[in-house]
Amino acid sequence: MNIYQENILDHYQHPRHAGKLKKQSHSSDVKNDLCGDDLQFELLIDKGVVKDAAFTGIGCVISKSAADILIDEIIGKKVSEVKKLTSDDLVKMLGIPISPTRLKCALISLEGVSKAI
Amino acid sequence: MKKQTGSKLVSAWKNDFPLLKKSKSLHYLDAAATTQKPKLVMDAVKEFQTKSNANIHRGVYRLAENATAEYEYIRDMIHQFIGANSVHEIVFTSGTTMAMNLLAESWGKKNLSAGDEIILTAMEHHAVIVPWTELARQLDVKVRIIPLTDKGLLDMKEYENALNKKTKAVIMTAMSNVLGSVVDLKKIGEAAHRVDAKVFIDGAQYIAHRNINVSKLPIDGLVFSGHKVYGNFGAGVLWVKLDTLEMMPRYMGGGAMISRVTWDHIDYREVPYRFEAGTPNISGVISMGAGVKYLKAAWKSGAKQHEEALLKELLSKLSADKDITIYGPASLKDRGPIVSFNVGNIHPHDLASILDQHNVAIRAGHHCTMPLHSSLGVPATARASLAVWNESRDIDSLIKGINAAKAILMR
Repeated sequence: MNIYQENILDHYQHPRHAGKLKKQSHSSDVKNDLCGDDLQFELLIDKGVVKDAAFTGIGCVISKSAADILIDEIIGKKVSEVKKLTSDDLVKMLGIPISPTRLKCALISLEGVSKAI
Repeated sequence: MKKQTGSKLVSAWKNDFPLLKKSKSLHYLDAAATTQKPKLVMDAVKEFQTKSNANIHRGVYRLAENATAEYEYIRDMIHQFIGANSVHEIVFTSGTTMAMNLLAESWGKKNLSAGDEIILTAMEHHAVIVPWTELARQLDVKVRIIPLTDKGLLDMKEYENALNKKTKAVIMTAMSNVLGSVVDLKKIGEAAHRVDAKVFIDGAQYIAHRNINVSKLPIDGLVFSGHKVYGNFGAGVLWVKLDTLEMMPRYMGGGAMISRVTWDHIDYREVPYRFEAGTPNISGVISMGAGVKYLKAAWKSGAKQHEEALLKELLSKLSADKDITIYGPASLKDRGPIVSFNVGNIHPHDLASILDQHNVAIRAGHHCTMPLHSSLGVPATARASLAVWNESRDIDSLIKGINAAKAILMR
């Protein structure tokens, strides 16, 4: 199984949530110094619910598509639910076999979202 | 010996490597990270373990005497290989990194003080940068960093300008593990010695591809690792000119490096034994000796020319693609067979992953040179490096894989 599957590439090349929010309440900045991924996350949280979220920055296919897919997942969710998300959940969301080295690329998004809330 | 069918270079040495024989479809282009091991090296370790395995420098029984003789024979062989004046100038370490740390701790701490200066270059590996810059901070020593020219070569004008009577040491790589850039050791050393500065060279990459004759060069120290010259992991060499080595205080303390121990006082041994505490990686050293023996034989049958011809082909094929940026010098005499590059704005990790799907092994990342990558303006690069087993087929597969990556990620 290929990690560069159509849905992953689709999220990388046509992200739904790339850019800056008009209004944001929480933000974070995460870096993976080992490879140069540098992503910024913005969230709009109202009454304990994630109303909107977006990301900007530079990263590889895995890190950016994971960011887009994760944000897809958390919009509309309660903050308490988002806090419960684990790396296993994220890997399931991506639906691809990730090697231990590339796993760090995917998890940077989870770190970014957790840091923001 | 290179056979040419059409314009395709074939390696006369590939079948010496059991792993490459087993994985026929693998295109291993990461010799700069570690070399594959020839059967000769595997056999040498097995033979040692079967016939001579014992601790060295201690036992009186024949098995131990044999083990000691084999270990010291390698020391003799290495001193000849690098052109050292004396066998006592060769210290065995666990690798380049330990050797560099030893130099910084032992020579550096004793000879540097506040107000002194040391020189490094913009292309140094973390193994040089970490021990020397941390030491400089501790001792209030100024670090001067020599930049590169836009051709990826060391800026010799800047180097000569940086040298002054406060300079106590110059520490630099003889061949960059990212750019492949080679420095002129003679010019570097002569200039440094004019201001009485010591010259310590990181030879980790250089030693596998070019001759060195340290007693004929104006340098004072050299470090390298066995696993980059066809030996196993965990062994390396520190060469230091005898009169400098003799003045260096001990690094690690323990058995084998002392001549007398009482509760109140310790007498240390003569060099090089003073720097070899504890039981060394004896089989690692044995394998390093076998690796060097293999390399010498390969050189005798044309391996250097083979690598150079392949490098020419690699540079030519990469530069034919206008989406590819090659870092480092273009001219063959100025560089070794290590080529770092980027393909469009494809992240090197993605490139390496896709190449892996095509059975091509390259390195992606910052290659332990974060400051260099900072100055190159990129977070990471892809790196292909060559050794005796590589062939035109490996380069063709690399290009094919790059095109596949472009098809997926540069639509």
